[in-house]
Amino acid sequence: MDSSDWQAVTLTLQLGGYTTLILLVIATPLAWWLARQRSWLSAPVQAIVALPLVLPPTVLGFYLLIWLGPEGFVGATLESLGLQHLAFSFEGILIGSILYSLPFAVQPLTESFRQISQGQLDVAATLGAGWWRRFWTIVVPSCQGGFLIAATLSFAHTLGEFGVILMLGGSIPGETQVLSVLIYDHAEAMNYQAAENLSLGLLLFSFVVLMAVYTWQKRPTGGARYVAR
Amino acid sequence: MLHVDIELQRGDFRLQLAHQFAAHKVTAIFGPSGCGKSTLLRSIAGLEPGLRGTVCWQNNIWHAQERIVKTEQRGIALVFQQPHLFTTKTVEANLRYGMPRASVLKACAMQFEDIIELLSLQPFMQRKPAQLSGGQQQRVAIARALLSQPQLLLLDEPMNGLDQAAKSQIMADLKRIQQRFALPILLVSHHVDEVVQLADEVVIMREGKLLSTGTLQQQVGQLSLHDEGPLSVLSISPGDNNQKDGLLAWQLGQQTLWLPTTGLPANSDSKRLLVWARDVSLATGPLKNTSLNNQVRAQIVGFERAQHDAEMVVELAVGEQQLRALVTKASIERLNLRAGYCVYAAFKAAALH
Repeated sequence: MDSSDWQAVTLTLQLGGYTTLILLVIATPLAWWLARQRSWLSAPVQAIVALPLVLPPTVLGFYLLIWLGPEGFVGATLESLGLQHLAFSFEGILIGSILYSLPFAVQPLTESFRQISQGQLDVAATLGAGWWRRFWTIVVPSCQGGFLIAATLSFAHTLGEFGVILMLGGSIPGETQVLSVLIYDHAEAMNYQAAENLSLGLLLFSFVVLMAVYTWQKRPTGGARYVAR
Repeated sequence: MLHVDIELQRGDFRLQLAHQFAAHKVTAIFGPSGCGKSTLLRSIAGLEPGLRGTVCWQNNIWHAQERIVKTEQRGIALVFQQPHLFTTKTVEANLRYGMPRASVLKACAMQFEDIIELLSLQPFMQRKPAQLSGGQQQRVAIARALLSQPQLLLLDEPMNGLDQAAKSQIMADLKRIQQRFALPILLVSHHVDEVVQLADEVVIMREGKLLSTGTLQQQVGQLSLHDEGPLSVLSISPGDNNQKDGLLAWQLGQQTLWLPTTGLPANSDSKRLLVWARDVSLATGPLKNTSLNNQVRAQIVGFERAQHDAEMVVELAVGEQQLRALVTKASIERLNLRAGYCVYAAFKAAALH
């Protein structure tokens, strides 16, 4: 492993970490709305959230490249404000990762919010707990499992992301060259030993993370059994 | 004082009700299932979206077109039919959830240790709700509500699913707590015995509307329409503490009743005696050879139809109070009972509250 390999490892972990944090913030209210409100908008919103599950990543990457690039409406707007457009940048692939992993955060959270007892929330309100306190004292402890699964899947799925990043970010060391892209570059350059080192590392790491989650889930208080179904 | 004038549409069910609830008293809301009792409580608590009209508590507007106070700011507590304990927390954490800060709590009426003792919760403090029986869970729910120091307590059939022993225990505790703290309570119930034991005022509901309202004594006739047939509630006061063979003397106006001493608080004030009309028998003269202990002189006021065609409800006046007897038409003919006649009514008391 040379320094460019380590740079890719750091970049990948950063991308996964930021994606997971931002996704938890975005997906929580979205999942809450999907789980608790009946609206004609629910079905179209659910469909949009699930799109990354079925679309080839190249399609998502292609549209993002157009929109975030210098000619696209987001990129052009940023440039007119004196900022940089987002194609081939870390911020760009971060946005791509968030969209790409959105269903993996929203779906477990929606499922776990559906299990929450409205009775407990009503009681908490009559006992003087405002919205924020109800969320932290009732929702979060009851949905620990859902949050853990959402975070793990978002993180792991971001590690495995390839197509979107290649389309949108290219392979710029230290900026957009994450592990999956670097492995591809190594293999293309016939540098099989380096590719294998990184591949094996990623394989073991992913296995350990998933195993840890499923072990935790099996505990009697682990909750979130719905994911195992 | 709670003033309610509300309207709520839920599918084809419509709640429409205006009433001023008495302060510092227990008001029972009585009626058949599905008549909107629970919805009324939830509306008062602010848990029903789409409510129209006004809800005012003392001088505060809780709900009006231009202003809605959130549930958590109303200073109420609601005990639901299910205990709804917080499953991830211990019993103690459940109890402390709604409690004010320690500095504020000092000045409050209901102290932690008192309530724990009153509802015998000490042994369960560190358990999780799933480890408790239904009755224990409901006691925790009631204690949790009381410890939040509500200015108004809403009880939605809190005794549902409890066995008789647990129920009597909790009802007695609630009565004691209510009297000690003059806490206004709205109690939803469809059990006559709960209403008779706890209520001062009664609101009778039918199909989302208020059917009638008044003191417990005034509404006894209405209570009869729903449950186990007609009944009477007699107010009795302690006699001169005469005990005889495990019986204690009580005064019903000028007349004396003998009731079992068991389970009665020693220094009791006036009590309510629940008597089912089917447990009252009439005679034209004093009965000598009977196992019934209690006989009073009464005057026939009138007759009412009973559920069964062969029977009549005989309305009697015992001093100032009203007693009902369920008697067959054949007996009325045989004894030649007419309004204004004096008879002897012998009865078995169902419950003394």
